[in-house]
Parts: sequence; structure tokens; C-alpha cells
Amino acid sequence: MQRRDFLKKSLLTGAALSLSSGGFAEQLFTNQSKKLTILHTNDMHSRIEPFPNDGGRNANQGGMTKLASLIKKIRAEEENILLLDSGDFFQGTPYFNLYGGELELKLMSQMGYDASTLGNHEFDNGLEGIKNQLQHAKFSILSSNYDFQDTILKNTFEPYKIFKKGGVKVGVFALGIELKGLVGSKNFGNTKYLDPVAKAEEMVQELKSKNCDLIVCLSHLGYSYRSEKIDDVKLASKVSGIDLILGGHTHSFLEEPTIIKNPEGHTTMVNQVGTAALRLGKIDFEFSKDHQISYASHRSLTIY
Amino acid sequence: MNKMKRIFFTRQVLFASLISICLFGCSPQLNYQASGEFNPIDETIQQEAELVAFIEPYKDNMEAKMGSVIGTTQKALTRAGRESLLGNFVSDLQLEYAQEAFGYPIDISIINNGGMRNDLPEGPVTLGNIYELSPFDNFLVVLELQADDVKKLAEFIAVRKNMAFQGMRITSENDKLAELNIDGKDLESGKTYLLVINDYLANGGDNMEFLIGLPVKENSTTSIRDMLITMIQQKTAAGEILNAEIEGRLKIN
Repeated sequence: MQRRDFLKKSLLTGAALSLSSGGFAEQLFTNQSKKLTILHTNDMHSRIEPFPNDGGRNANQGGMTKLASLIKKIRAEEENILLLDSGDFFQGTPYFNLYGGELELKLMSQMGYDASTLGNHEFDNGLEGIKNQLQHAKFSILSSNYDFQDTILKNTFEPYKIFKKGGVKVGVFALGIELKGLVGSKNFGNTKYLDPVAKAEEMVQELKSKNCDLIVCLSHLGYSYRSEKIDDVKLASKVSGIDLILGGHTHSFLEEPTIIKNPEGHTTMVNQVGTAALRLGKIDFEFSKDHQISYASHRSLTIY
Repeated sequence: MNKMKRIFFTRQVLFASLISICLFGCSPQLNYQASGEFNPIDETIQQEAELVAFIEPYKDNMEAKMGSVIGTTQKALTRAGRESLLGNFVSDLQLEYAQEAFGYPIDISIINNGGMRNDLPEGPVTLGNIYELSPFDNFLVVLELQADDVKKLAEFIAVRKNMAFQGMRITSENDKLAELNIDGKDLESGKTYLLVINDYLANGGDNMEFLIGLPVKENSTTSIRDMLITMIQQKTAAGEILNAEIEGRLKIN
């Protein structure tokens, strides 16, 4: 671990020093800096246990029972952790068919998830299937762009939540994919799908007005489509102000987070970690107060 | 970059990209830098004992259910051959189910060979066998086809030979469609044919792009797996033994 920390610091120092305005690199590593670790999953698809030991590609890998021990280990190492998920925790193994999602939500609660959102597969047992299982979730399920007003899920989901971790205010909102054509119409009933871009802009305004230090979007839109269909990459380029998009739906195993600098100069990090709890994403933030306001126009990014 | 990645490989982290973002987010006072990485949940990670204990009763109950016998086959229904026993069995049940559930006659039933992931053994069939045969959550869909669409479909099958079906007889010669009949009759232009298929294929899966955009008569939430379970239980309750034969649905000359 030590060697890694050393590397990380030296590389980051290098990154900071590579900026034209030198001098604040040291400031980034002062004792006053605040650390935040965001752990994230997506599309766990009822993978309660590791894949069976059947010689398959993922044999003995993934699954919530293993995920839990990794999270426990990281909790012992890091102080300020936010544990997030981007939906589709339902469907994929007989556990879902037999118990309707109860076990998935109970295990996520035990692991201490802070928030998740609704993927399309959350609708697999209809709106009733969601309503009946929510009692098992001891964490927030957020949804910013599904309007459930005319359904049995009216007033059930908050559009966003603000988490305070170690002095950092993190605003989290959540976007779902268009259900029509993807989910049987009986299963979503009168749920209205609202434009993710307009909703995201509204959420960013709202969270900024509440002085959030970091704005995170849990997205089940999908990473990137060749068509015009909205995805995480397009969202990042269209909406300014989102710091981090944690994606899902396309089961993308990204080798590294995608960094998108939009036309207005805002930078957003997009990440997604495959499916079935085969990977746990970890994004470490280090915040520091910077008194040299002259850097305000200096937005810089270095990727190693 | 490569070098760094390699270093991180040895530290149990497959990837680490260090990204330094120095910008002003929603607060003008706080800068941040971020680094992202993922942790593979592989064989080196043990299951958390507490959770393993917690799921035990759920698991025992599930395994008992998966082991429950829901029917009996006369012989092993396997995927062997271009026209297979299992393919005929599944496409038959699919046609029968759809006609009963949706309440109208349907002309053709198709299942992709790749959608059948395991054979059914001779003798007792368990619920677990059906989950292994059909692990995917693909749903039944009914599409409306015109004679030209049916011809395209038959041509596709004659070339690729990757589908099991009921309702049609297809002869493939030199990888081309040589003969086609529907329910013993030639194609009739001007007639609408109903096809029961799964949503994966209806949405262009397995290179069946020509199905995209066809009128959808039924968009069900019944998975192929649930269809199989329902039909097998129904047949078993009626005292039937599960069986299928090779009947020359797909002839290859």
C-alpha cells in the first residue's frame, strides 16, 4: 500500500506541477485537505453469491457476499466513504425469481449502501414488485426523472439527497432510462419518463444552491450509444456542473473512468464497473481550500 | 502509463488511472483532485461470513425448490444437430403457450439455438434444469409479418441454420432457401402471418435486423423460462410425458 501511496502522490504532484500556474501543488497535500472515497457498483443483477465454480469465465468471482468483505476491508482503511449503486440490482439469478428482490435489498442494507436508483429491471415485477420490496431497503433509492404521481409509487422516491461526509457536502441525484420499449407497458403503468438533460440541469441548480462541494449523478441511462439516444457521455457534454456520473445499464467494464470536458469547459468523470459485483469502483477525492482565487478560471486536467 | 498500470496490477488493482482535476466545482472555495480505479472481486477475495450465514436459509430453500421435479422426459432432449430435439420441444411449447395465453392462432414459433443453454436429461426434469436451459430474461413477443417478411426469415434460417422453429418447413440447398411452406401451404401474398419469438430476436439480436420495426401485436412480460415452467407443469398435471421428434422441419440438401 505504501508504495502505491508514494506513487500516487508523486504522480499527482507531477500533475499539479505540470499546470502552468505552479505553487499550489503543496497546498493540495496540506493536513487540512479532506478526503472522500466513493465506492460504487451497478447492474449487480441478483448476484448474491459468486458465480458457480463451473469452469466458466467468471467462476468463483463477483457476488454480494464477496463484495461485502471487500467493502469491509476498505471501510477499515478509509474514513469517509459513500457507497453508491446505479440500479439493476434486481433480476438475474433464481434468488430474484423466488424472493422478488428482498435478499438483494437486505444485503445492500447490511453492506451500508447510502443510495441507489431504479434500473429498468427494478420494474420486472411491475410497480407492485417495487412497492412490496422497498421495506427491505435501509438506504435511499433516488429517482429524479421518473414521475410516479399517477401510480402507486407516488411520493415514494426523493429526487436527490445531500450527504455530509467528513466536512464535504455531496449532492446525489439519479437518472433512469426511458422505459417504453424496454420494459413491458403493464410493468410501468402511468410512470412518466422526464427528459434526463432538463432534469439534470434542474438538479445541478438545486444542489449548487444548497452549496454542495461535489455533485454526483447515479445514472441508468447507459454509457454510450452510437444513436441519438441519451447516454452518460452525452449527458456529461450537455450538462455543466456534474462532477461524477456513476453509470449502469450497458454493463460496461471501463478500464478507467472517462473524462469529458464539455464545450463550456466543465469537466465530468464518468465511470461504470460492469455487472454482477465483479468489480467495485473506487473514486478518491481530495479536497483542499484554495485561497488563491486567481485559479478560478484555471481548469486543468491531467490523465496519466 | 503502461508502466504505471503494470505496477498497479501487482498491487491487486487491475487498473488505476490517476486523474488530477483542479477546478472549481459548485463551491468556489474547494478544489479537488480525484483518482479512479476499480477493484476486481476475484478468487483472492473471500465471502463475508456474516452474509453467507444470513443467506443460508434463503439458499437452502432455493436449492430445494430448484431440485424439485416438475416433469419427466421420454428421452434426453438435446441441442444436437441442425434440427434438434430440444429446439423442436421449446418451439412447440412456445407456440402452444402463446396461442393459449394470447388467445388467437399463431402461425410460426422461433427460438434461437443460442438461447438454449443446456440440454434436458432423460427422466426427471427439475426446476433447476429449466433455469440452466433458459437463464436469460427474454420475453415473448408476437410480430405481424407479411409474406415477404416470412420469406426473408426463411432465407435467413436457410443460410444460417441457427434457429429452431415450428409452423414452417424449410429446405436449404447449398446454403440457400429451396423450399418453404407454412402449415403445409405455400406463402400467400396479402396474408398477415403471426410469429411468436423472443424480444431479444425481435429487437434485431442474432443479426435479425430485418425484424426491427415490424408491427408488434403482443409485447408480453412472460419470459421463455416462465413459459417453459408453466407448460411443463401443465403437461405433467395432465399426465403427459415430455417428448419431441426430429420431423424434417429443417431439411438440408
